[in-house]
Order: sequence, then C-alpha cells, then structure tokens
Amino acid sequence: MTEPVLRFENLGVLYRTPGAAGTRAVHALRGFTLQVTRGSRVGIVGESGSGKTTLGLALLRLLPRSAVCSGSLTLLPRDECCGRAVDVPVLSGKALRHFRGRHASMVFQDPFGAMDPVLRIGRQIVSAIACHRTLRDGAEARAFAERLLERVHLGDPAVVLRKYPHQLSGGQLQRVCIALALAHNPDVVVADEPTTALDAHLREGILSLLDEAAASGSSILLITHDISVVGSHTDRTCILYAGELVEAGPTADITADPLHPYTRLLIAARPTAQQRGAPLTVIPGNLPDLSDTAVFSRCIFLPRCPDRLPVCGRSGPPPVFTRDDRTVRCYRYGGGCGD
Amino acid sequence: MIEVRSVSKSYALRSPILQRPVGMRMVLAGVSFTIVPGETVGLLGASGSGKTTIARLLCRLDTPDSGEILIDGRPAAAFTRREYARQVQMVFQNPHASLNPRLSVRYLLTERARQCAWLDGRRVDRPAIAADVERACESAGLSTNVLTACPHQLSGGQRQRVAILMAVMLRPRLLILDEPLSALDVSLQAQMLNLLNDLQRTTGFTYLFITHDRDLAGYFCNRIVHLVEGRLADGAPI
Repeated sequence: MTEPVLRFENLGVLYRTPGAAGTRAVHALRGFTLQVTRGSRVGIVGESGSGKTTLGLALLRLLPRSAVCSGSLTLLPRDECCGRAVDVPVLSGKALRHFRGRHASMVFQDPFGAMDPVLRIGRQIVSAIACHRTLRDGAEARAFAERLLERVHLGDPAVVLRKYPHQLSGGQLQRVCIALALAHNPDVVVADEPTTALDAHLREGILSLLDEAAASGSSILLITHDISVVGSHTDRTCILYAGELVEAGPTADITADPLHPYTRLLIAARPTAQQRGAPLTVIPGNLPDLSDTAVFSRCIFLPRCPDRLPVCGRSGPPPVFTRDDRTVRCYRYGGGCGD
Repeated sequence: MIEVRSVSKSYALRSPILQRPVGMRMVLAGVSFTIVPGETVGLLGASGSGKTTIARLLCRLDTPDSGEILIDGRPAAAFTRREYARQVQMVFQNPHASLNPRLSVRYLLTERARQCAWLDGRRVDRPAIAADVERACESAGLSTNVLTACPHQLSGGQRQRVAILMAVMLRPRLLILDEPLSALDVSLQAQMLNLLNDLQRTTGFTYLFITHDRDLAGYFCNRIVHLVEGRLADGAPI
C-alpha cells in the first residue's frame, strides 16, 4: 500500500480581496508539495491563518471564486477509472461531481452547519448516495443508509434515519457526517477539525472512525490546530506556518524530536499536568501579512524565531532539507550556510 | 470562602409548538463544593452535565430550586447588586458575543473603570479613569493602540484579553472562566494562561475554570470538581 494516491506539486492558492487601495492578493498557500500514500493518515497542523483549511478546500475544489490556484494536484483513483490520474484543478461539471463523494470527501468542523436542518437524516443520506449509485427502490436505499450508520457505530440506525439534525447530539451528528463522507469509500477523506466543536471525551471515538476508514483503504487528511490530536491517529504529520510547509515527517518522530523552531514552540506551548503553574512558552509576535510579498523573500518564520542565524535574514527563503523521511524548511539543517 | 451547598436546579421541558410544560429535567442534583480564596478550581464535565448552570447560579443569573450559595457565610441572594458585582464576575467562551461590536475598546473599558470607581465610592474624574484603563491594558499585555479599535478589528487573542480585562477590572473575589480558551490557537492559549497566572499572582484572584480539556485543567487548576449528569463525581485534589 505504498503507491501515492494524492500528489500536491508546488500548490499555491491566492485570494484576491478588494481593499481600499485596489485589489489585494493574499498568498494563503505557497509551494505546497506532498505525496499521500493509499490508506495512510496524514495530519496537517497549524495555527489559524496557516492555510490548512485552504488546502482541504483546494482538494475538494470548494474554494471561493476569488481564489486562484497554481501548481498541480493529482489523484490516482483505485477503481474503474483505468488507473488514470485525475487532474483536480481542471475538473468541471459532471466530472467534478463524480470526483466529490466518489474520490474525495470532507468532514467539516461543525456537524450542525454541514447538514440541512429541515430534512430528515435519512433523506439527506439517501440523496447523497443516489448521486453516485443507482438505487432500485426505497427499501434498498434505506438498507444502504442503515449499513452506513452501522459502520460508524450509531445505535439503532432505523430511528436515527427518521430524525432531524437538531434531534441528535453533536457527537452523533458528526458520526452521521463521517458516514456520509465514507459512503462511497473515497480515495481521500479530508477531516477539517472534526473534533473541535465536540466534547473532549467524544474525540477518541470520532478519530477512531477515521482510523477504521484508513484501514479500509481511504487516505485521511486530518486538519487540526492541536498537535496533541495527531499523536496516535496519524502516520505522518505536516506542520504549516503562514501558508508554507515548514516540517513534515512521521508523526512519532516529529512529536518526539521536532526539528523546526516553530514545531518546537507549538509543542512547548501545549499545557500539561506535569508543568503545572509554570509559565508556558509563548510564540512571540503575530502571523505575517500574507498580502505583503516582501515577507516571502526571506524565511517566513524569521520575525518570531527564537533561534535565528545570521544567514536567515540575508538570504532568500530557506531550502527544503531532507533527511531520513523527514523534511524541514530551515537554514539550521543545512543549505545556504555559506551565503 | 465560597460554598455551594446541596444546590439543585431543574428546568421545565416544553412541548415543541405550544410550549406547554411537559415535564422537568434535573440539571443539578444536590451539588456541594467549596472554593477557598486564592485557589483555582477546575469544573470538568461533558456537555449537559450542568457546568454552565453552576456558573449561572454563582453569577445570580438564575436561582437554585433548593440549596444555597454562601459567600463568607452570607447567602448570595442577600447581597445587593452593587455588592455582588464585587463578588463574582464571569468571562464567557465567545468574546465576540460578550463585547458590544459598536463600541470601541476604550469605551468598553472606561465604562468598567467608572463602574469600579462608583462601586468604591470614589469620585469619578476623567484623568484618573483614563489612567486606570491604560494601566489595565498594560497589565494584560495590550498596547494602547487597541483602545481606539472596535472588537471586530482585534485578533482573537486581543479580543479575549479585553473580555478578561472587563471582568478583572471590577476586582471580583471569584472569576468564573467558562471555556475561555477553547476558541483559541495553542500559542494564544499559552498567552492567556500566562496572563491568568500572572493576574492571580499579583492580585490573588480565585478562579473557577470550566473546561472539558483534562490536560488544561491539570495544568491550570489546584483542584478539580467532576460533574457527571448533575452530580459530583469526586472533589479530590489531583
């Protein structure tokens, strides 16, 4: 199971926003390169404004019209598409509808916002199934929907199907959303902070559903701002900062031995019971203004970096340094030291 | 010392359209615990376990059906509103909803500083109030240029700081923090926790910290009270 199913090559997204002084271009994601293997679970970690949700939306082609994509994004489906890679940015019309749901799907942060409040759960699931599969009659549709809800361990699926979204708890509804996302065994499932709106004790249950999906062959992109979430539920982790991939590698290595200064700060800022009352490490400063292209001519993390080198300010952005399956974008790990 | 003594609270369940009462739902069933001055008590529990109801009762936004809340041995209901403003204040989860979007930060904080002077029985004079506001901003690590901004122009962390300041400026005995960090990024959470720790060190606040994050509660609280379906699970020190 090592073939790459999803390939991001130099993906960039910029948003054109009207401002007082003409249109501003906000470079939300720049030069993002990543390969995702089939059945793997990849965590995308970053603060708000780091471009992690933009990445998920770009994959599903859900970006607003003001967004301009560059670079390439290809998906290699496993089913009848004769092994041809799908070039995601050029999809349109029927092909795009086929792609969403069949090849890629998304679980959103707020399950109440993701479902239609005036339709019963059963109706919503059946209409989503009917987009991609011919159903003979109501009985078959109902049976299929019940099987889906059983797969996400919802008790009494027949009762749940007759309910409206507001009659379920957040945890139950998020399970319904996951069932919908997994309905056609897509190649990739993007989970955008699926547990943030839920209670902490429901988190494990929801994340283990995604683990089960990965075991059945779907790749998972788990987007989160909390690095402790990725720990036991992902194989690889990517750390995004201000639209750039600053570090990527196996999750266990990143959490045990973070290389990039930003990753180190992100881990240190997380409070634990052991360090009770001691002051926490704070990442000083704010995210840079991504509409100002001057900030891209050097390391993007430089103004906030506690361990900067003289070379960081003088040269251009740090090159990507690769070692043993890990990549890090920092001058501390070689490249450009002689500049 | 703040004592919550076998407090119960239930709400009426109503029918969907005609809103007829169809039954009662017990939210708190005989909950008792005490908060000692200067400590941080964590209140942990799943949604619907009654955490926010306790906070509402402590703020006198609601009255208990039975049991009572005592502050230094005096029932909470016996305080005048003016006195009670000095006893308990609350910081809510969503700063967007707790700050008036049409008023500048300076206006919001000045109003609090005036209220504080009034509660103290001091004369309200403008330069002293302006100095109070600037001192408060400094203590929370906010630069004075946020004063001219409206809440929507601030970052998430700045907004939550202003919300905390508004509660802190009245110098209450007990500050209730209802999930104040759950909408924030990890690095902002760390900033807020450091701010709350500093405030406690310098002014000796007592906190009731409502959260569902065990790691956070373990870091921040001296003692944790677990609520399970309106009942206390245990109040043992951790």
